[in-house]
Amino acid sequence: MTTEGGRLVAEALAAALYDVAEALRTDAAEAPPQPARRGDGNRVGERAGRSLGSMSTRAMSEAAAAIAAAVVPAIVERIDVNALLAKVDVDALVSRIDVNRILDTVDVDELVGRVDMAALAREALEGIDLGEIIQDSTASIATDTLEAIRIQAMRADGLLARIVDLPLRRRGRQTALAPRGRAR
Amino acid sequence: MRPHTPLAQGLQGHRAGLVSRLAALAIDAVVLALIGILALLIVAGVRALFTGELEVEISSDALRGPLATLLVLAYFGYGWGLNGRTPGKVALGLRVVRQDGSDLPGLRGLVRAALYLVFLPGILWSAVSRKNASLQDLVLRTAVIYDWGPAAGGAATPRDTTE
Repeated sequence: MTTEGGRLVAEALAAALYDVAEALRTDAAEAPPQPARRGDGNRVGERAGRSLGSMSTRAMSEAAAAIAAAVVPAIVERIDVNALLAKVDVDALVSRIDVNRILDTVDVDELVGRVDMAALAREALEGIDLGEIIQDSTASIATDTLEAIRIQAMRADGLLARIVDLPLRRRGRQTALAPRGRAR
Repeated sequence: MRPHTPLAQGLQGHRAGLVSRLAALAIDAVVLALIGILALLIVAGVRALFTGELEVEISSDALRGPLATLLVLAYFGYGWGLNGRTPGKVALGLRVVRQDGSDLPGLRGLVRAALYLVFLPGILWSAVSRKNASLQDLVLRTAVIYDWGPAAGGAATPRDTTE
């Protein structure tokens, strides 16, 4: 324990002892005065014991609280939480939890009933730009359609060429362009 | 737009066949008709401002033919002469170029339009031609190629390969 921690504990103990002494003094003041007789020492001890025993609950609580207030922070300050957590087997801990049992205790209908679905839907729709989505999807459909038409036309070109070339006994066509400067 | 299939990718810059060309021509015919109707409506509207009667027709028979011819020449001549594309060719991903793949001069685009106007069946020769060339292509040394635009990659570049 550090010097600071020791000091705090000492202070707490002193405060507690003070509280005990104060309680004793109060009890003594409330008791009626007795003449001193032989064996009074023992009786004083007995009285102190009784005083301690009859110490008010409030005083004891205050004393305990004073000790706790001083000691606990000092102890907590000394604890290495990371080291503590490293010793904990989280997997084992989690495996001991019965999730289904926990879920059984949850009333989903009531939970859902508490949610303002209309407001939630409204908020979700506000966050979505429907116009842009429709525009994008429309453009995409148009592009895909156009592309499909072009490809079909290309295939039809090839098919027609093959049909025409068959009786003419041709082996394909010269569809590539001549390089620049060699065009006839 | 990028060609997604190997077929489309491989044919970029190659001469297009008759089906693609006829499909493009059909779209152009529809667009031309719409332009003609729009022009008639505009003229009728302007005329109605003065006469008070909306008459959507060309009353003079002598004007009808020349105006239609002018419209067709302007439409195809402008499209082919400007960048080798009419709306129909844009839709089908086609482009008119010279035989070496270079851009068509404006005047040759106009002459090509006139030749098609004079003898439209000449396009059918592209079904028989070894180079997919119409009669107009043979006369003017032009070609119609697959060209899906700059984003297609490698389009409209002269190639020295045979399909």
